[in-house]
Amino acid sequence: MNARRYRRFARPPSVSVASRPSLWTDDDHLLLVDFNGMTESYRRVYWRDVQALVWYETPIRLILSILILLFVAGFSGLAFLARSAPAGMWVLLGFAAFFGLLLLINLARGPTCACFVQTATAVHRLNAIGRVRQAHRIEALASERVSQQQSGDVPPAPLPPPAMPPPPQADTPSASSGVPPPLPASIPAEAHAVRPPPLALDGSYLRLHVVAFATALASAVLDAVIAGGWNNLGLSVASMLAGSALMGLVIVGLVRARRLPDSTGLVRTYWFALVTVTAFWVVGYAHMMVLMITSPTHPLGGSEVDYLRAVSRLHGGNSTYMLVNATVSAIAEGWIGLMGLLQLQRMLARWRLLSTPPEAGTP
Amino acid sequence: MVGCPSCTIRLEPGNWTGDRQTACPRCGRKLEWRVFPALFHPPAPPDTSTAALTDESRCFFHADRPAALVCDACGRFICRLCDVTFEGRHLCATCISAGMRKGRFAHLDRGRTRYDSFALTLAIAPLALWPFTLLTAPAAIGVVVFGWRKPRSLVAPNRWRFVVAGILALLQIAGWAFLFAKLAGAFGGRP
Repeated sequence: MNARRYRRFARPPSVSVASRPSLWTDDDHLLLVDFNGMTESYRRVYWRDVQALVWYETPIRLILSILILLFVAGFSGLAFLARSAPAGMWVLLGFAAFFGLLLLINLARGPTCACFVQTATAVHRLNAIGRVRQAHRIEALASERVSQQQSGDVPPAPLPPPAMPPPPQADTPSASSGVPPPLPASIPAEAHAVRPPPLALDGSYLRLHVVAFATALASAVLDAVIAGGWNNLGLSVASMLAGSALMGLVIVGLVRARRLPDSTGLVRTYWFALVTVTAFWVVGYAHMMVLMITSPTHPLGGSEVDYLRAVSRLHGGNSTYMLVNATVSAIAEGWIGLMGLLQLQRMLARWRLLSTPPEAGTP
Repeated sequence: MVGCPSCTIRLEPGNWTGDRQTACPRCGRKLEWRVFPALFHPPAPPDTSTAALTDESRCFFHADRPAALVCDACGRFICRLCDVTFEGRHLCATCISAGMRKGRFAHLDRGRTRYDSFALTLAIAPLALWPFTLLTAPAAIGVVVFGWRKPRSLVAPNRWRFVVAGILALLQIAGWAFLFAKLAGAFGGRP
């Protein structure tokens, strides 16, 4: 039954959460496999049907590098603070070295990308292709296989212009001969920009984005109040809850915003929010760890509840750390909220403009 | 035409003839691409224009159309419309459907259950909370027995996961048997 022997082309990428996609090749087709831990689903793309491979760079490498760098810095800082206890220091340095190695590997693997294969009926994303280097490899393989499977068709390069030639002009010599003139190689992109179809707001999750950025603004106000010196337990808890809600909304909003057209600015704001909020969490966690390590009361010396209460008081009280944290958080979240709402407003204005039918007489 | 996968806009030919890198005019993504001859030669639709003459053989599925071929699996006369060329054979849709149901065409499988991975997970993951192995070890054995003859993965067709899962589960069961025997010896029988 399993007569075919597939050759693995790409392993699951390093960032794959819900499923583990992989890519396998056979003589006449590509096999796209998604494994969710229990079942495998298959999609086949035959070389003879492949019309185009398209890929573009994504910022995943940069974001991963920043996140890993935060861990390296966090563990290095903790190791420095724990230098009085050599065993703990070396363990923490080991963690820092591990994350440093991950960082080097991430940088060495090259830029990340999203790669797609287009056929006459569908565009499939090759989830297993996560790096530009892999995209170039699949391109080389596709060129070889396609030349065998699509032989008899016109060669792939140089490419002739397909249908829709430019309108013949009376002063061009080709108009008289009946042959459409070839397209010049350097046509400005704007000249071929297609007017996008009118977009409905249904499915844009506009309210979700508004709520996300409003939450960022609310969180900024809370942090500003805390930074102003009016810190108490209620405000701290409210700020923490707002931060958690913001994290959740940012993740969902980012997923939704990526599916929207014309949303590059919005997506960038979301990415900034994700990295910033994550960084605040990591810093807060590291601060707690530092307090626990440097606290004069050993956790095993007395009641653990009392000890944790004392550490929490140190962590959340009117300390310099809290002042700096609250100030920076207020600025960052305020910026996120304002920029997000501004991006939304710009996007809506553009959509309205595109949805308005052009007046008679305008080109 | 080539589409921008980011914003799904169709790019005009000028955007993807010439240089192999371009910026999408709508979303601004820097796209790299490679196009192939199939882009300029979409598959031709089947010929549906002819009608059967009175003395001609007719298609089994379309009484008004002339038969053009014989299905390589069932031998029925079929027209060009019903012909599905698959793995070098001419088949009718009924045979394709029946073949898919009976698992004859591995090439048409859209998914398979990985009993081997499931069994291995059942044998290994509960070790973190070892008391659960009392339940999961027999379950892993059950999955190994149940899934041994089931269709295996297209890309990892060997059975080593089954073997490892079975050995681990048997070891866990042996461990439990040993523990129960010790407990029985400690608490039972002797006054």
